[in-house]
Amino acid sequence: MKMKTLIRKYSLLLLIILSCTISRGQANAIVDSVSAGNQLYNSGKYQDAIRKYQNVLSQGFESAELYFNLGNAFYKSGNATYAILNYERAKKLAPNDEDIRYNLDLAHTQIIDNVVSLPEPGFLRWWKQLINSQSISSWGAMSIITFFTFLSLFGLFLLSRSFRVKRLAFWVSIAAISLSAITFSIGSHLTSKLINHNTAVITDRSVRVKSSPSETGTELFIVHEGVTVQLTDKLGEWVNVSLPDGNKGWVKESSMVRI
Amino acid sequence: MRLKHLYLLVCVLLLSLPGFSQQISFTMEAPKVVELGEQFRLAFTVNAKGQNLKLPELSDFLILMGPSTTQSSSFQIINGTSSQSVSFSYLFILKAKKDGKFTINPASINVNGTTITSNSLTIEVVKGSAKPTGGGTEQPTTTPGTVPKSDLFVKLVVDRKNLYKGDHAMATIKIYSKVNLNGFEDISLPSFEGFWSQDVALPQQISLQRESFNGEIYNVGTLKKTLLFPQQTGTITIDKVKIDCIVQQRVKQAKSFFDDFFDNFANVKVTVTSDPVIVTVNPLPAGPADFSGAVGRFDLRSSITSTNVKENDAITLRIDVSGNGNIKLINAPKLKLPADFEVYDPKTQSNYAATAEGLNGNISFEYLFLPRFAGDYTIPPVNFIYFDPVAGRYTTKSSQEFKIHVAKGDGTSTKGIMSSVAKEDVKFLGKDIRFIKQGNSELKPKGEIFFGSFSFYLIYLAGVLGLLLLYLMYQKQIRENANVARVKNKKASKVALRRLKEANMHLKNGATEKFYEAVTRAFWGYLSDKMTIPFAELNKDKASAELANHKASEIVINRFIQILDTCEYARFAPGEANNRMLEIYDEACDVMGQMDKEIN
Repeated sequence: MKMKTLIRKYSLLLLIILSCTISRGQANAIVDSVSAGNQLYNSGKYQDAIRKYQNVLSQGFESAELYFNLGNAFYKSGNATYAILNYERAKKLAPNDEDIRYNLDLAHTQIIDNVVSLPEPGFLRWWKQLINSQSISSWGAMSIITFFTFLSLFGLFLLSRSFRVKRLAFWVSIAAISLSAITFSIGSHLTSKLINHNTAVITDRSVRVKSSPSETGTELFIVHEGVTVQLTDKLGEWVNVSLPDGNKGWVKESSMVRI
Repeated sequence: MRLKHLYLLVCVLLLSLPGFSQQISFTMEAPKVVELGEQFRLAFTVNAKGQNLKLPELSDFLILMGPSTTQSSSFQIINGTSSQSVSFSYLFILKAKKDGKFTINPASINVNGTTITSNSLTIEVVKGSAKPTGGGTEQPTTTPGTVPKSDLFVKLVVDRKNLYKGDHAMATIKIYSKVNLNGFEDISLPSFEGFWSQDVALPQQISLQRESFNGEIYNVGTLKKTLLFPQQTGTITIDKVKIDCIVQQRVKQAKSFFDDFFDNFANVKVTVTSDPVIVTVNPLPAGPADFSGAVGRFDLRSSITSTNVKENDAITLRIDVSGNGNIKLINAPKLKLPADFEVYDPKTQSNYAATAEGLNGNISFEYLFLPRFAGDYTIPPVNFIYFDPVAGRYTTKSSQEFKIHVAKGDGTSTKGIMSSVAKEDVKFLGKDIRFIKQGNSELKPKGEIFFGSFSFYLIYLAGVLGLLLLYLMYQKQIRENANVARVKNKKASKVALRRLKEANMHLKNGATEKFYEAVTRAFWGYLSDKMTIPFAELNKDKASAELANHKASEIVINRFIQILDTCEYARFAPGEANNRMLEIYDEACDVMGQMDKEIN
């Protein structure tokens, strides 16, 4: 627990260093815009709140909270599809946030299709839980810390005259570099998920999924708006989608929005 | 109130005025069949006052009398509407000159300055039987109570006896009579098993008309006309018709006084039956899969109520099939709608009339459907396939294609349907989403992830470089340290030699004390530089041990120690060893050379 807070603090520090590039005035204006959106949401003006939040996004800024609030505003104005889209985006940035998951589950009950996910093996679920337990920055920070631990131990190994110290330093440094590699790969896996937008939410009211990437393809099944799909292939304007229940087929990319 | 009624009356009268100027008709009437030598009437009727009647050529007939003119007019008010009609008729009595078929060409008449022509007529003149028909001259039959078969019979005529399944044939039941037919008691008609039958409307009253059959004139009544649509293939036998007729017969009685004044008549029941008819029905050739079952000739029209609707708005597509054939038996053509339309069963409505030519009319199919979701859809053409019995092949008629634009609904109706269609197990009535996050969110530029960024890798690189630098510095330090030792080692003998030279100088000067001191320093200094041992730490024991480590021979070590001992002794007990200075100097030089050789 202590470690966790430490990591969080550390990633916060890194973020602060990064965000130094944003000029202070601009940042203030954007934060004001977000709180204005929050106030509009409070008074029930969801459409106006949506506009405020989207304005912030259009200026090139994002955060899990912003997506979450935007998703809430969409949900309240009766648009479950876009609520799901924004919750998914928020979840990408903050995979471990319980509120986001709760609202996402609730939004899923409002859509037409009841897509039942395939059951996952226990270890996979455990692994995903582990991966999502920390943010990307935390994994990155962990990787850096363990790497520096490795460096200092390796240095000790190189410089020490005592054989016993050398041996101990060597083995502990091996453990540290392995840990660093694991945390790094988890971080890069999450980053690639974040950068490669290969999940999407269907936004057309009703989409016929074809067996081949053409209009003449056999119609396999119908999905309605709000379904989250995995994109596995792309050919022209057609993409191969795979549903959580394992069904696959080709759909025009214009009928969905990537998360 | 009254005024209003008056206006209404005037209006009605005005509206009905065009009714007076009705179509002027001019008709010619005569019996169809006459016997040679028989007198018959040829009548012309016109419903307006006409002038200048021009008769057609009547060279085959003799005009016995005429024209006699009669006029009638009528005026009637039915439900407040009045109608007036007049008719003028011109009557001629004719007689045929010879037998055969003769056509009388149309006559013409001048009404109000315009010439109107009548219809034409065909009259068949037959030779006639030996005994005259009808009238008071009729002779009583030989056997009372019976009627000869040739005088009264019934016929069932089917116009086509070889046809396709689903095509139509006309069955006509006619009664032929030469006797005084009074009525029918019981008519048992065939059931037309194997056919779908449709009666053709006939006048309620059966009117007898003169017709010739086998060269004789009969009074013929058409009892029934039925359209038959065979429903099975093969030979079908139509049952016979059985009719109980009431015939009025004159009864011959014993001569009496009143005989000549009163005839005695009796009603005789006579049963007549027709011959059964056999019809051959051919199966239809192998047809396409979605054949509608229609046989005949048809036209197709389609219409749609709207092509621009909102979600869940009903659209009705109507397909009208009209023509001649087995309209009643047509199946609704298949409509291929987009998959997620909600479709109801088509509503079928047919309207037809049986005529002599077959079943004429139309049948309409109304497809009601609801587009559930917004989008642009295409309803492909509906194919209606029927069999044309005249051409003997299948024909396809297609309706037009419809493009439908469905706009997004207002959501109120959708919600209700959704909840009923989708999930009933969800009971989130009291639940709501978690509230928005109020805290100042840490906004950052989109797509900027620290992980994997340049600065992220820079940290790793900096760490590696730092360690490398540290290691290199350490290595350099070690190397430098090693260099100092080597220089010292290399310089050791030089320094020692210089000190020995100094000792040699002191020897020549006779400075005994300084000589021994120089030799001692040369020896210790050499050892310190060579072995990299601090000067202060040197003593004889350590020196001998180190020298042994450096693989110096025992003899050299002993000599080295001895010289040091001698020098020490000479320094603290001067005078005695003065003459040995040269000897020691030589010895020292020799040991130094030996040692330098052995150690390196």
